[in-house]
Amino acid sequence: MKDLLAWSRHHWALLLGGGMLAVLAALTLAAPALYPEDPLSMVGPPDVRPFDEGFLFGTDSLGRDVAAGILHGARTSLLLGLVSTACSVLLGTGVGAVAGYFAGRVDDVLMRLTEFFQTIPSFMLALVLVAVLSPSIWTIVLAIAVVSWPPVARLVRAEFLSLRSRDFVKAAVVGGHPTHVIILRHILPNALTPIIVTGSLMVASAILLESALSFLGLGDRNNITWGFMIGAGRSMIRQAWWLSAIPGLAIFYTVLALNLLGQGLADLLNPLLARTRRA
Amino acid sequence: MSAGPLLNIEDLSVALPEGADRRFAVQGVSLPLGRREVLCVVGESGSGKSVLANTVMGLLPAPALRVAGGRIMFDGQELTRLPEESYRELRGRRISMIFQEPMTALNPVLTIGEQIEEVLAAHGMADRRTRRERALELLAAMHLPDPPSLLGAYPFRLSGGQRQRVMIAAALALEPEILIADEPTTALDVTTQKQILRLIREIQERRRLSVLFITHDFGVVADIADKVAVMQHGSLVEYGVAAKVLDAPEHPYTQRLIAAVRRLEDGAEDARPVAAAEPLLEIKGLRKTYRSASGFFGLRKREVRAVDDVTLTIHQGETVGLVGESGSGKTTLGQLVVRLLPADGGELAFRGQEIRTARGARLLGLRKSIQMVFQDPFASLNPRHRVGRILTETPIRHGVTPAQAATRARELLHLVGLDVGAYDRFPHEFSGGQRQRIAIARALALDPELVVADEPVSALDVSVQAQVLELLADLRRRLNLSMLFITHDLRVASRICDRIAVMRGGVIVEIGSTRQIFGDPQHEYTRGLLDSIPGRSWLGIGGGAPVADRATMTL
Repeated sequence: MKDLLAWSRHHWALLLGGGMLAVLAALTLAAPALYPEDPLSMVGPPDVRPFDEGFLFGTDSLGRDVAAGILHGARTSLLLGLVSTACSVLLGTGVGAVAGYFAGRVDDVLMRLTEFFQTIPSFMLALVLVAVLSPSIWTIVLAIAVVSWPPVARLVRAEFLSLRSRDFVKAAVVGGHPTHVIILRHILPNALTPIIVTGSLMVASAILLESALSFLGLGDRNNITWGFMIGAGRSMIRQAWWLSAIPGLAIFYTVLALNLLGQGLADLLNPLLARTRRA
Repeated sequence: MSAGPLLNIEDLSVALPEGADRRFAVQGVSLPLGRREVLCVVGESGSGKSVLANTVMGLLPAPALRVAGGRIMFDGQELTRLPEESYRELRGRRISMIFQEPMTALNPVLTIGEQIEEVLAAHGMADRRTRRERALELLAAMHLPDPPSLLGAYPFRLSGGQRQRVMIAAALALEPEILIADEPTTALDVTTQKQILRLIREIQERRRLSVLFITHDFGVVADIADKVAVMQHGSLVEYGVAAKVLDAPEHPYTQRLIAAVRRLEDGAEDARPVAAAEPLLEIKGLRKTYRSASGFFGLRKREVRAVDDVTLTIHQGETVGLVGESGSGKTTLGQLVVRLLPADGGELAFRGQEIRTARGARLLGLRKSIQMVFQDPFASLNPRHRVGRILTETPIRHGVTPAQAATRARELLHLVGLDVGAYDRFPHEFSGGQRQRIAIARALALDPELVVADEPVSALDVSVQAQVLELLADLRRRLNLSMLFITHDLRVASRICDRIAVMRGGVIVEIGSTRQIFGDPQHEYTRGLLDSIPGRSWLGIGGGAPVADRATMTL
């Protein structure tokens, strides 16, 4: 019991971030039950202030329920964030691991490719990709993944470059293990901490990127998202600031939770800290 | 000058943060440092000797470590309660410090001149010309070549020994009364170490310095100390005049440490004549060159001949030592033998099979027969894998069933003197010596015929070194192992090797039985190496004249 207390005091960021995300996930899952109507349909009079007429966050200029939008939008935003991050982490880790392990020519080719993507302003590239491929939830996922893998690749490459010269990797080579086993089972687990931490932060930036795209009207029209809501509320910002502020706060809450989770995971997975705790 | 000690440490305790493995890093240590005296503080890693040095210098990493009790008296001042500002005045001007790692102690983007002059400027020497003259004078006093051009040079152009000389020059810039040296020669080659020790002794005498010298090496103590203090687990266990502590130690811990050092010198008494045995590994004319491109577009090519036409044979059951300083190519040769690196030319045959061209199943077969033990047991075990996995993974790869591998792994743990409970634990739960035992067990898991051991004891404390060497010697007898034993330390090589090959600049300059190398070295470089062994005359190694400085040291 005392240990548990000490543990939670040490890992407050992990617990708080995880808890905030759990609440968000629960609300997201409960959205169809709480607000069975399509969040894009008009359910009340327009421009209802928050807490008036039974609408928790009021309605927008078309009479759409803002609270329903927030909850239904959470699903799209979280899904987009997680899927696009998973894609870019997989791609980035693959490229970075191969470049870092084999070094030399392979590394040169892969890193020039990575730099090619890095030198293009990422938001512009995402914008062009979505515009060309026509906006839908999957093209947005693709666009976000394409622009956000290069930093992961560079990070993983750097980790692999330093890890591949470690003696335990040499010992595995001398033991006769094949290359893919050495990469996947000996080196990758040791590089996992920074990958997971970066990944958790990337979910946040993916949500922000999607919001920006939606704000510019390049979101998926069939799914409500927070960015879309901010964009739609923009024209009313003088009369009804909460239309933009409430989804903005939702993004803030989610990004904060993810950042806390990322920081907490970094602490939890750091073997050095684990060692001092044990000692 | 008053008669009392210049620096007096009185009942000093330094507390460790809560949750550490003991309460105090330094506990109740009382130690005087007299004027013009060299006091060596000796201890193994974790003994608190460096913490002691840093406390005197006021460099404890607060708030993790703090002085819990006692006093440090320096010339009538109490140091532990001195405010930071007054300390800054003291540091450099009256007490100075040099560190272990000369490679990182100098700022790489400042010239040597700037770094020395910086110290002078910080303590109020305003005039640029005087600063420059003083810097030149200091560099010359350190016997550095061509001081004027050195002033404008960046640290990367200097060797480790030269950098350490620059560090000493900077430390002495303001003519301090006390020099604290924290393992200043540990990162250096033996020949360089000898020169630096001689230099420290020389300036100590010329400038009437008091030196607090932290070291783990009793050989170094024998070469430089007037007084010796031995520390264990944060406490002072023995203190006295050097000759007395070295030759008639009283405390059992000191006796054990000195015995461990002395035992290293016995020579491989069980050296066996092995010429009759069949050759196991035959190296003929082996070459490896590192090429690196530099300059614009890699136009300038640099070549380093790491292994240059090396010929060496290891017979069945024989242990051959490969001794050399850093950059001699000894590690490269070891890695060529285990095929971690491809060779450029020459022959490398194991039982008549060419190693260089082996592929697929044949290479796998060779890997089974030739295994390796690495230097740093903290880096050579995957921190994310349990010991059981570390020991069974490779045998399973070579076709052993998991159950058999697990049984064998437990036997191996027993063989290397570890508890079977180690099987389910992670590497970081073990000490350095225990980890090296695990690494040895891993190398033995495939029942190899040849083990390449690259500096297997260099990262370990002396007493642990002796244990691991004993284990290796015992294993090779019991399992009839052959070994290529790579080391920079002739003392270690003498303990375990049947034959020793001395390597320098990629070339084997001399090869002979251990007795020959120690008793009758032929090559000038070998003689130089033997001559540089710290504490050589104390240990009574080899022929030739005893080190001359010894006489002046006990004055």
